[in-house]
Amino acid sequence: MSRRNDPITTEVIRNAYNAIADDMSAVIARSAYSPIIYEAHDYGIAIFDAKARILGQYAGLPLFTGGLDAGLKETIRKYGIENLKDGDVFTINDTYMTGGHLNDVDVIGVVATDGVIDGFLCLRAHWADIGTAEPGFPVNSRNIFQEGMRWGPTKIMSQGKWVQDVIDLLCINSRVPKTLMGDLNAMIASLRLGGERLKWLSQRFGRETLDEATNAIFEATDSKFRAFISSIPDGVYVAEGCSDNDGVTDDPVHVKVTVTIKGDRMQVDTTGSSKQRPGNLNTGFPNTVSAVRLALALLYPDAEPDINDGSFRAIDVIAEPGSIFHAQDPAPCMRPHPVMLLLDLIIKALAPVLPEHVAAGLPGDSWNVFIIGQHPDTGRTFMSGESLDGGWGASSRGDGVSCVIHSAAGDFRNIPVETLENRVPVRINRMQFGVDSGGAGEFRGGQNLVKEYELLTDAGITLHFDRAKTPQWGLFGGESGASPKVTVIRANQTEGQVIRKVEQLPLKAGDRFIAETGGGGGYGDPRKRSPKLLQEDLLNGSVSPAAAKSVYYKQA
Amino acid sequence: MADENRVFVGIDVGGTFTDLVMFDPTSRTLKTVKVPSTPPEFWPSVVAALEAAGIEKKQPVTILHGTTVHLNAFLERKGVKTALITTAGFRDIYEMRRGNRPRPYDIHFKYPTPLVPRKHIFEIEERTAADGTVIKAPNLAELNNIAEQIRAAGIQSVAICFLHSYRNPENERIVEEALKQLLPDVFVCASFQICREWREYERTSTAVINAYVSPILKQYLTRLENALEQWSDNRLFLLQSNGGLISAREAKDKGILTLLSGPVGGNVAGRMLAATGDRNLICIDMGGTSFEASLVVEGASAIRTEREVGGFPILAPLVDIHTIGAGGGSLAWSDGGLLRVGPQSAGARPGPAAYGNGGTEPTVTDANLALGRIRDDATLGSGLKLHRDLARAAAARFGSTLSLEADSTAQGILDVINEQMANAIRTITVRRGIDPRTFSLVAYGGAGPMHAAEIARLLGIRKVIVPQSAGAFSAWGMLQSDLIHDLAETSATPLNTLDWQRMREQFAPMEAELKARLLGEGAAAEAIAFEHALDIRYSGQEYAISVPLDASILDPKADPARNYSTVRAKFDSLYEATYGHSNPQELAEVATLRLRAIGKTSLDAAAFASASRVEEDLGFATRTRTVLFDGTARETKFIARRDLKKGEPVAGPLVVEEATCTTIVPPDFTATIDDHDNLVLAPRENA
Repeated sequence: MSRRNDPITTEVIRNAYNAIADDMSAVIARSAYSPIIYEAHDYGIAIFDAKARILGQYAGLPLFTGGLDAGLKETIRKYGIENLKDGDVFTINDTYMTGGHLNDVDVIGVVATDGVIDGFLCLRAHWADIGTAEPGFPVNSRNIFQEGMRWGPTKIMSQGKWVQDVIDLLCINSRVPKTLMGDLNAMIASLRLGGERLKWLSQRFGRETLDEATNAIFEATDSKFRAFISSIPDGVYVAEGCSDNDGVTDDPVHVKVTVTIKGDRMQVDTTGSSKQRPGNLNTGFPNTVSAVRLALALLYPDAEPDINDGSFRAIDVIAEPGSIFHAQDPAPCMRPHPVMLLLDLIIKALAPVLPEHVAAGLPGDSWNVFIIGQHPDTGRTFMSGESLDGGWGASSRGDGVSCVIHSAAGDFRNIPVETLENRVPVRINRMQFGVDSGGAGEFRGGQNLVKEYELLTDAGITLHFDRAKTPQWGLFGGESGASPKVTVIRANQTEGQVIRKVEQLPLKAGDRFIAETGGGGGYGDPRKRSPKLLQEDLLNGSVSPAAAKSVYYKQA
Repeated sequence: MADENRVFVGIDVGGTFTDLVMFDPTSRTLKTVKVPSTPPEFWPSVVAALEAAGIEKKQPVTILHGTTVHLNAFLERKGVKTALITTAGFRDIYEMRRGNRPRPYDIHFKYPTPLVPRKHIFEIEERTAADGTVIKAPNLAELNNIAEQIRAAGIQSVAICFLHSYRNPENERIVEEALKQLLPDVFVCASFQICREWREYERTSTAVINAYVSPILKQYLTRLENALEQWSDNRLFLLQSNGGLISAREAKDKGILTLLSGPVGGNVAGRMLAATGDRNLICIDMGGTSFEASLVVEGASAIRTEREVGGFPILAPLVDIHTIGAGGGSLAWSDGGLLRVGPQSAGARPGPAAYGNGGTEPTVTDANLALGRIRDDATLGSGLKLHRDLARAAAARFGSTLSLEADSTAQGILDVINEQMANAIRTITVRRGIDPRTFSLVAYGGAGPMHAAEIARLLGIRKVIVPQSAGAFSAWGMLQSDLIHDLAETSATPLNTLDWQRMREQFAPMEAELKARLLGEGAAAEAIAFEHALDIRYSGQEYAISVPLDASILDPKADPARNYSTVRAKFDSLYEATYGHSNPQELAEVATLRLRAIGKTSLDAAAFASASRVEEDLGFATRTRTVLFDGTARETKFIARRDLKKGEPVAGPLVVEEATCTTIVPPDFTATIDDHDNLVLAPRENA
């Protein structure tokens, strides 16, 4: 079959690229060791052509996928494309180059036939431990060196064989070397499958046909995204907000975004946002680019847009070097949560001109809970890490979904109560939607999560809860959702203490803490909410009778 | 089930047609009957099929039945009004799901609306710890109040799911019994009755679906049983989603077990095909709106222990059927100048453009018709006339938007849909470590045999099998299945310290439970066999691999050290085969104990295989027509399947016709009837 550059062959090839990424994902999900990978799907996969242009992807964690090209380009720059061989595998986690925090490690596979590159396969996954000062994520690191081991492009496999010295070095720097190798093996298995499929595609169609089809795919996608941007009225759109603090000082961290639409181009400028901070919520530039791409993909009208090199040709991203969105060595970058606020602010900025496309304030933090201690029965160290769900913003289409993962993630699953209680000596007393937590509106924001933990043994907890100062806003008269917080109640007390960020707070058996995440923003004037929907809210207990009276029926 | 002169019938009730295949062991004959289905009450079509087959009222008959009545009710959200009772503090677990957003770029993402609204979810004070200790017994005083509300709301069915009930079902059992007393007219089912695996959301979802559909199935079966009383000695069994049979009586309260009763029939039939031929098969069924692919590996159905159906997870062993929206009715559309097909379907109304009911966009059926692959005087068994000119016009009109000729457009539609089906097969093979080129492709269903050779070509498969009565293949499968019941218990024990004696003791009550069930269903004690397996994973992993245990390991005198090394080695090698790497140094743990009990039916496989067929003459005369293959017009013979001679290969291009389906043999393939009367397509040696 040698039909070339026709819409049929092109479609067949487009399908194949995405199928390869999906199949690679299945291998990782089923054979990885870390719950954060197999359970939470904390990884992204993308396939690139020989020119490092993205062909297709699996967006388990879309913020990851949007930055995968950066690490690949660094790798090609360092080693030289002519020196890359089939079966070579590289890794890189340098924040300033990839944008991810150090735990998010890129693994890059080279696929070549007869010395000619067919393409690259890139994975980014959260590695369980890369030698941070304390297990888990440090809340209060003050420079990159406290955040674990950092490496630039590094070869770990040479034509299918481990570079054992490097593997040994990685393993000896991890608290959990077996887990690290288990996860790495899963990633290699995934690369192997993807490599076979990509080679087979080259053989079947020939490189020329493949290149022509690939260009046609890029062009088609590019023109669709440009058409969408052109549909937005030209103008300058601004939105601002802040993260609560940087974990070192309590000063808010300012985020400002200026979106300029001119014809079929969109420029996103973060000038006016905070300079890089002593606390660890700074980020490398590629992560900022990824957040902007994700914001555009969320605004784009297709529920499942094509993501390839053509998708983001029409956007420019500006972030001043030395700002939180373009951090310089040695700024700490472990918790770059302002990028979630940034992506949400882009949506907010464009709301006045895209009222049908946007949603009100999205869950914009990962609301992490870590519990670490010694198991009383086995004496072994246990650790659980969770990212809690919050309420999605309401939109012109209806209420926001209650309790879903934040906007920068995607197919990220929470940890079942039964799994958590089997692995960690903790009991969950309740896990429910918070009443009145969704921002009031003609369409109501999604409800937040209220989860009560009771420790069954002495243990330390690490918490990272942000977005109390900029809760998830309402749009067009809708109200903001509930603010996130954690209340710690000691065993012998009834009064609790509100804490949002803390590292290794020692608790005793019998102590409890109640985690409450953010509620979604409301959309439209609450007084316009249909009586039928409000009645359902009351019957379902989503809205209290008091709130129904004071918010939904208040006098103008 | 053994007795003299009993006949066996498999009956598959589909949305449009009901297929019956009858086997008479005395005369060693097989007979196929097709009658229209009778929606919305489907039971009369079973009676009509039995009558059409000429089965006398005094004739002892065993009916093996597949139905989609409750699957359809579930997919169309027409189940009964259902309530859920949960552990206090966990009312929202069900609606909360797992918090993931599978379409991460969809700002308007929503989950399917829950089957039970929050207002019908009730909490009760009770709690069991992770180790199975009851911390708090259920507060039955609260239950009176809940029962009152359930009655007042007119709820017909109640699911109960408490935390850690997979470890200790005591609290669920207490509440289930008490509620049945309080609400004798309401269907009540606790999660442990159907699922004993951890993860509360998935188990709750399983219990809710069961409660939502069981009363529908129960009503259907009760009406059917009443209607079947005319046959004084009849026995009724249903096909389950795990590929085995269950007695109608047992099936009534456990609708979840038979949810995929209809779709799995073809895979079971494939399994039977494997008994006399190739052991590794890819089974494909293509209908009007969907394409389903499943595997038979080394003669056994490939099973999954968890999957989503209709947007909700089910924790239960199910034949691993992968479904995509690709069928005869799939619509072609243009996306920024690229040709896409499906998943949107033209449905029954307006249907393909060729139906002449107002459809204007070309479908896959239109493409086949436009290229001459279906005879234009065919009626698709439904009395519907096909208009080739309308199909061609639709292809031409659509093609002009892409600057393509009508013929290239039609060919393109087929190329794209074939590729999608091939990708679906890759999904269930390549990513599970299976090389599809080592498998044969079995095609059935109305449209499957039309596309099978092209799909095989894309996958490098060398053999396509179109079985006898390919259009009624599912009914044929039902006829030959066994009674099968599965039971699983969560374990979470390191493999190297596993107490093998305790494991045997844990299996014993499971065996007793399933044996009693089989005996109750009429299985002979000596015909009952057990299959034991341990789901094992590397310590810390989530997904486990099922490792079968043979008799030597279950022997009480077996050496524990040897047991460990045998099972361990088997696990590592299965893992290696699936993922391409393994880690023999890593600690392994047992996640789940699995037991399967099989009650062999008395059907003699050899007699069955040698049975002769009573066939009707369809009046197809051989003739020649022009068909386009990949842009080239070829003089193509249309021949009735019964006119092909056993063992004599006929070169393509060829169209083989029979009552229930049409098989396309491309120019570079040959067609042969094999010793088992299968139509076998293979690439020509020099092609």
